[in-house]
Amino acid sequence: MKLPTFQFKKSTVAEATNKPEVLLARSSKLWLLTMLVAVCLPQIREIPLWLTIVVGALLAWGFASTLKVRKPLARWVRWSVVPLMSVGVLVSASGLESLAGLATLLIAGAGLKVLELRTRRDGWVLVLVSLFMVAVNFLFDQSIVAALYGFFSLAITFAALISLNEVQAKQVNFGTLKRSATILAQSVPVMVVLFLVFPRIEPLWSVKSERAVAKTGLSNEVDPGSVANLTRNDSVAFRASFTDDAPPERSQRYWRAITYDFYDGRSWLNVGKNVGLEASAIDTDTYYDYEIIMEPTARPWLVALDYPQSVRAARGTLTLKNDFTVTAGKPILDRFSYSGRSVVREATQELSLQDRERFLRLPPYGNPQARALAASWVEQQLSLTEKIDALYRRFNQSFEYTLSPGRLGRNSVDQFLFETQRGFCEHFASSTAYLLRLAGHPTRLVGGYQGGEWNPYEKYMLVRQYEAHAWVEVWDENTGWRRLDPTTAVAPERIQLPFDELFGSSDDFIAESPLSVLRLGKNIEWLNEVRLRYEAVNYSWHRWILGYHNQQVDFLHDLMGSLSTLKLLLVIFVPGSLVTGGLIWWLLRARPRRYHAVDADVQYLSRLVSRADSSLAREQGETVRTYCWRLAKHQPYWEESLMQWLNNLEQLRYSPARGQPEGDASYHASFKNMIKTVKKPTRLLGKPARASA
Amino acid sequence: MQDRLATAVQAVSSVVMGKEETVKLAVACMLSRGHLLIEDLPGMGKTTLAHTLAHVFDLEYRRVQFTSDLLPADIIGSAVFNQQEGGFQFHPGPVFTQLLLADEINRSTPKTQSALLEAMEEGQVSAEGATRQLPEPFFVIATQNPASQYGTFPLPESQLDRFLMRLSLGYPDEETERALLKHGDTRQDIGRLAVSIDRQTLMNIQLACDQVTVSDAVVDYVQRLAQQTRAIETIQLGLSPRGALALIQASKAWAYMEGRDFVTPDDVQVVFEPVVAHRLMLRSGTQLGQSITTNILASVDVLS
Repeated sequence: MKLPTFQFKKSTVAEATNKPEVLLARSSKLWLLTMLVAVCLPQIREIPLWLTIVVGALLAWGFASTLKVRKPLARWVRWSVVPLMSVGVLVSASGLESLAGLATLLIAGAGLKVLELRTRRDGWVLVLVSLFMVAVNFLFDQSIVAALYGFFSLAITFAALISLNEVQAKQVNFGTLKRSATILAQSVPVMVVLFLVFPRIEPLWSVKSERAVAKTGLSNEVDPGSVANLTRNDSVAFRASFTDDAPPERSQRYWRAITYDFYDGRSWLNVGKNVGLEASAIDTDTYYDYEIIMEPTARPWLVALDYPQSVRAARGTLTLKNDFTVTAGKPILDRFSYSGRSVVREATQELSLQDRERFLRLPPYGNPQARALAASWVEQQLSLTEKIDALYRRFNQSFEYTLSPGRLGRNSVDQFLFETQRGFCEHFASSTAYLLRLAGHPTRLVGGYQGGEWNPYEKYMLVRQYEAHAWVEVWDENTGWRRLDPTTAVAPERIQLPFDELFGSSDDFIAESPLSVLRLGKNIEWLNEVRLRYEAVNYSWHRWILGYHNQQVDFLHDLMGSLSTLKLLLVIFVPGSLVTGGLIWWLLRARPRRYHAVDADVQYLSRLVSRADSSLAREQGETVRTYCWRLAKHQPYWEESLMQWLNNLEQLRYSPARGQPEGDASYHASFKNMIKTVKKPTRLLGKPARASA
Repeated sequence: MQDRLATAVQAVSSVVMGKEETVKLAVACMLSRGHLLIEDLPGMGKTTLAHTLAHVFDLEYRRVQFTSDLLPADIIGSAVFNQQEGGFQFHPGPVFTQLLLADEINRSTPKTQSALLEAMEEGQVSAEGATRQLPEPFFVIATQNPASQYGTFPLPESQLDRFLMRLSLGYPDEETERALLKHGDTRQDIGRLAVSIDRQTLMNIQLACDQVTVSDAVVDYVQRLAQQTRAIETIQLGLSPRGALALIQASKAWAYMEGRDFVTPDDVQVVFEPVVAHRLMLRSGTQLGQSITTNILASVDVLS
């Protein structure tokens, strides 16, 4: 056997191993840009306006240059955008709360990446960022619409990922989107399983968004106008469902949240310490069992139907205070569900009042007219009921219940009672409480909600921020704290009609969302029904999907007793990751290719010799002949048998004249001989190179 | 027969010194009836190679220097009025030869280029209303100067496809260059070379090359290589089926020269770069470098 004359080409084959950089196809670029638009869109509300404009412009330019309408951005523009953007993000992100800052950073980064969208690697980076942004979107919004949009943007992201791996596609086609939708659909079972079993245990699970709580809600201070302000807002305060699907009468739907015991001359404040209420037996049958899903408020208090007897929550301990308010002990930063039991009545039926002074304290000066009025009541020796009647008559005669009461000056009670005579619930409640305190009756203001819309489809009650209400409780020696709602004196329809029916035509009503269905739908029957149906679906969504972790915690608790992190790790995470890891390994394992019998022999030889020296393994692009010569050069002792085998092999494999490999005796003989020769020095000397030396 | 081929290669190499591989590939190109494009700087021995090949294979040889004012008629020939006979008579141009050296083909206008390329493809020439057969065998060796592109008309991809191989000679190594300098101009040696293979034998060998068998394993390998050229994203135009066919054709000739009657993947790898490189276009517009063809070879498994 002679050496082949030409080997110049063969040597270079094995050398070239570094892969060329893969550039992005036009269709991939278009998909990636579309993907960015899709994932950035929902976050426009969170990020500063300048960033929206800049990123929008970058994306638009990216589209234009990909479609060859415009040239790519000039180098100096690109170099100047980067530092400007960085400075902008640093400045504005410091002013934003953490999540919005994160969104700003992500979007700015993604926008800058558009500038250097060139290779496939850039594309992968963007896809990863995009997937992260889809997840971040859910921190801001968890509604059904957001979930559907999440699916949509995932589909686009997957399409971009597919287009990155598609070689032939030169044009954008919707087959890609179809394929990504299929993949998404196939992954739904995995999502469902993970949703059901993945443990959501605080603090790992919850990300606190301060945005949700920055919204309006009751505060621990009530001044004239603060409750009226809430009517500008139609966001949900809480949802309640009742065990028998039977809600109390509309006029009895007083949802208590907080009491105010201190008056500083203008505002009512929640100052005094209230201690836990001693549990008392319920002496009546007319109680309601209900479950409430409270929207985050960033305040510790929760709402309860007047008057609550007991409350319970799956997470955390609730305390029922002796002013009949409920507190969770820490601010409610995400949706919180709990259940309660209340007896609907007009008074607390308490026997003794502790700390009586607290509920009589007033500033020593101001409001002379009110003081004179109270003094005249005391002079006439009116009873409590008579005083209330007198006041209610006054209210009924010339007062106006309005959403826009106008500003009040220094002596706000006097001004309201004797001048403007226009007010919202807090004006009436505040002046009533003031007068009654002047007249020597312990009084407190109660903040909460009055009303609620019953959804007949899903059987729950929805209470919105605009149903916020303030009323008064006065201490009656016979009945304990007794509820007085002075608003009923001037506008009895407030507690009889739905609030939106009452004020639907007022300009200030839900002024923050002028196009709300609530406003438009009042006069259109079907629109209203659609709204109720949508809210019903939304309620189920909140209860069963978003609120699932409460049930999961219960379930896990039942299963394993008290939850500790270690236990969770051992019982769920470790086996879970083992199973997932095993599954991934099984799916991605390198399946041995089925080789032709002769080629399999070459593989065998390669494996055999590479055991001793890994550099002897056959390169992918190396032909059998080149490989044999390399081995022969490495170990001249092998040459003869190798060449004999090679000859047989080439005849058998590449010359169609010869028969099947199975029946070819000379080939097999040469193969066995070769293997024997190759094995010999390997076994005896360990290193074949030393044998040749 | 292989011995005589080896002698012929030896003979050519004695004139074109130190370029045995390239000479062998050029011979393989001739054996597979393909046309040859030599891309190199001036003074590298392009013309000498063509001339020597013509002499050793006993072929009639003409040379046309392509310039921008060269017309198709200057290659194909034209009818001239004959006063004695009182009619037009066709004067065949230089294309009617067995080996035509088209020097600096990219200097002429596309019109002239395409006239030649048409002759290359069809093996015949249509002029003055008549179709005239070109002699058998008919080879074109075209040269191209890659360095000076000023005032040139680069051949489009579709026409590059007509050339079976693209080779370049390159600078000689030190030893060869020293020998070359000592020896002086080798061109006068051409005439003294013995004719190794006559015209008829060449045509017989061409027929024998066709008979070289290509097993399914090799066909699969070529197909995988072609697939790979289409899969790489930096390549705008992958290898066409015609290109893949050319690869097999050249591999057959190489296998024959190696003394085998069957093709092995080694043959394919040897001819891969000269046959494939000029048929692929990179996305950026530049032609394929050697590194990418070796990359393709390295990334496609020979075994299956």
